[in-house]
Amino acid sequence: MTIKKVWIEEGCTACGLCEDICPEVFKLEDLATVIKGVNYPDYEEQIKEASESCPVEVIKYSE
Amino acid sequence: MKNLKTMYMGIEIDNPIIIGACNMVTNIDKLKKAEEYGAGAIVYKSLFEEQIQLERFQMDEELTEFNDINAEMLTTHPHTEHAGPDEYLLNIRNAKESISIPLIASLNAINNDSWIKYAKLLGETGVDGIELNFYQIPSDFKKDAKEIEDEQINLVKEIRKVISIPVSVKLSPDYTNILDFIKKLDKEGVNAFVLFNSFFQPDIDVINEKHIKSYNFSNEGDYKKSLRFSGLLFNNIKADICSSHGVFTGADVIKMILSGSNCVQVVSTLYKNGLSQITTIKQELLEWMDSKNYKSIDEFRGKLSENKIDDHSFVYQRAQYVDLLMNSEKIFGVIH
Repeated sequence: MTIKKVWIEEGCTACGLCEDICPEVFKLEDLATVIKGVNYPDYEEQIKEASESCPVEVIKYSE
Repeated sequence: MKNLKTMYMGIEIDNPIIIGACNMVTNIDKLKKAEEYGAGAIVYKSLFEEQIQLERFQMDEELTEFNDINAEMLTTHPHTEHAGPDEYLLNIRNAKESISIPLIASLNAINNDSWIKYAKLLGETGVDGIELNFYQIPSDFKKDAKEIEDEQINLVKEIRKVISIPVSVKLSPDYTNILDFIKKLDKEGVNAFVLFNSFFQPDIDVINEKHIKSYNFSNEGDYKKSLRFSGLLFNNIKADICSSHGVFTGADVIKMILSGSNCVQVVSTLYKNGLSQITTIKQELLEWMDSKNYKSIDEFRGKLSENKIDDHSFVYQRAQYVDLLMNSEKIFGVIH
């Protein structure tokens, strides 16, 4: 299974943890955003870690 | 007008809510926002021994990268962009200049040389104080508790010789007798104690049979061990007391101050609620003080510490456990 889509639901607190874990996929502006055009399977482990570590559990992905 | 001023490391701060060391407030924008939201002080993210060693390793690699070509190139090709700790020192200097509230550096080293060298360098950046984060997991089966404690006390003595700014020590609760250890550090002139640091704990994914990497946030209610030792230390040490770990709300801050803390450090609540939580906590504290007619923190600080309550043994020591057992039916009802 590879990651096909990554998105962030409402409720981000802008803590920046996802960007710390995987700056290739997540960027913190006012809130966290997903960088477009990234090949997600290249960063599968980091995306999953960011999702599991998110303190408000708003980082989602589909496989 | 309520006065929220209190002391931390012998420094007067505008209010007792300090942002603990974390990655959330490292860039200038975030630091300024934290100040706008009303933080009393900020502890800048820790400089770790691993960073120092990694950079030394990278530097060694870079310095020898061209050895096979021409040794003279060492002087013309150092990749100085990997300054590592140097970059950290520059960042913290810039951070200090960007805000007007106190900024505290945090250091977590392993080797004595690193502790002393970087404490001195951090002290030269203009920060208001240094937090020594004694975050260490015992991993040596041959080292006893006294040896570890003596090393840490000596380390504080050595660091005290090279820096003149205030020093705090952030501790683990896992000392055999933390009261004795704190008292000894207090005699060495530590200006504040932070109770307690949060360890990253390992976990295992049983499906894939591998270790899991995840951040360990504290949870609401985790503050109780800090509260206990804050209550026991109040008026027994010269240093200021700062409670940490599981402080989420204004009510938590009030509890810590009632037990004897001068201030608190918050981290997890900011990750879970955003930096604006500082304003919320501060507002809750002000409203409570208003409802109780307190005009300053000093009016109620330590009011419920061990040496201010009538029955010393009841709340903070073992007797509460005995009481709970003896009166379990009264407290929990009869279990059928």
